[in-house]
Amino acid sequence: MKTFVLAGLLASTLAFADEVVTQKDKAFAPGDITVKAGQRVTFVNDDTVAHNVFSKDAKFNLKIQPPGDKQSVSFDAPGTYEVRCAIHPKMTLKVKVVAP
Amino acid sequence: MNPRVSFLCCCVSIAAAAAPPVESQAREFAAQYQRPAKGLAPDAPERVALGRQLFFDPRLSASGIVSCATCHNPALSWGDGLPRAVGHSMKTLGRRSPTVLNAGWGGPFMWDGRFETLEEQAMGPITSPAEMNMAAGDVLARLSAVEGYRQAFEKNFPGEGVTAKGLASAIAAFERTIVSPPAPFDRWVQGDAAALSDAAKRGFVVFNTKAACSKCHSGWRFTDDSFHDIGVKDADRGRGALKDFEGIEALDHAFKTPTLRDADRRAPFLHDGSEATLEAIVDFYDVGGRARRPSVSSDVQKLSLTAQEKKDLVAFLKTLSSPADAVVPALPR
Repeated sequence: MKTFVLAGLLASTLAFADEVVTQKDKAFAPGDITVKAGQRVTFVNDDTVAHNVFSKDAKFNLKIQPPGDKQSVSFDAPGTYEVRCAIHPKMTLKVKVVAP
Repeated sequence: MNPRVSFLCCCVSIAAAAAPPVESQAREFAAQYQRPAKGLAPDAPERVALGRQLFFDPRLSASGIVSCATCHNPALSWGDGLPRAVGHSMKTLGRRSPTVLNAGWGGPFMWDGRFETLEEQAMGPITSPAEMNMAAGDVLARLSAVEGYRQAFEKNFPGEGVTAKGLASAIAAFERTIVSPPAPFDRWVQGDAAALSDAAKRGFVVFNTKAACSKCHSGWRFTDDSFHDIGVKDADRGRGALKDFEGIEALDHAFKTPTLRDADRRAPFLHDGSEATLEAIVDFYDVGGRARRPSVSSDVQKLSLTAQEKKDLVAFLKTLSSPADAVVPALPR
């Protein structure tokens, strides 16, 4: 049973590798992504200042990310979500979540 | 070569390698402060002219004595020079009037950023009971009673009459023309090494390195339009009080990073006007702000600047001022 669960997790990880979004020069890159429902997005702060990624639509707040920090969040329901940096409002990311 | 001369040359060359001239040190940071080659897409001149009249017209307030220019006075670098703005019935408001300089490139607007566009912002103070205290319907009725305004609105917005949308659009169009004329700093960025003193150049290096002011006061406007709790000791929760940002600790007591253009003409400083001079604001940052609480930005740290570095920073900040060039319009009666 344990083996089955692990195999399932591995399969799911392989099928849906994390989508990586960087934060550099006070901008998300890329600024527009499409992921499958259940897939995780990893936000990496490659900047020299702190960021605070959040989404009202997707209802998450990654709180303060100092330079070098990585945080992940999974998008479970299909739809289109706006993700922003609370500190730098010009930083916006569109996440389109499609059925797996 | 005389061995003594050779020894001296060697010493000079080592000294030069150890400490490059301040001009070349400062020049390393110049490119990121270049003014945009092109301005904003121009609005129709007739719309700008109408917006200019509306901006200076006190009839937009319930009392008939407060115009946009009361708090955003071109003679005071489009601010009012007061610690905190004065609104309807001469009541002192909670925050200082920000300058309108270069607002066309900025946003969101107000200290807490509650308006996304200049158009939204334009209507905010007019209809705020604490500021100009005019119901939208009342201001439109008052403007409609003035033939010159009826004609100007018809010319700009044919068939629409005097509307809130037109009013906001015209004021925003005018505000987009409020741009800092070139300052000594801009002439230096363009290559005129003599436009800044050595003290100002040293201050510019400190601004970009040890003091790290450039983390937020970046680009030619000297702001990235970000929001931080910088440690001002007051109860104002700033952006954190807006419903959209409930639960985001970083926005508690957070206010918009103001431009530094014309800074030495716009004292006092901070959202509550609590720091009276450029020297005082440098001291404020030198100790890492005055309030200690979880929301204070990790980008605000104790700096431990030397007395000379503080003087140099102030010398640099003074090079960001440029002469006012406002034209005050005649108003339709």
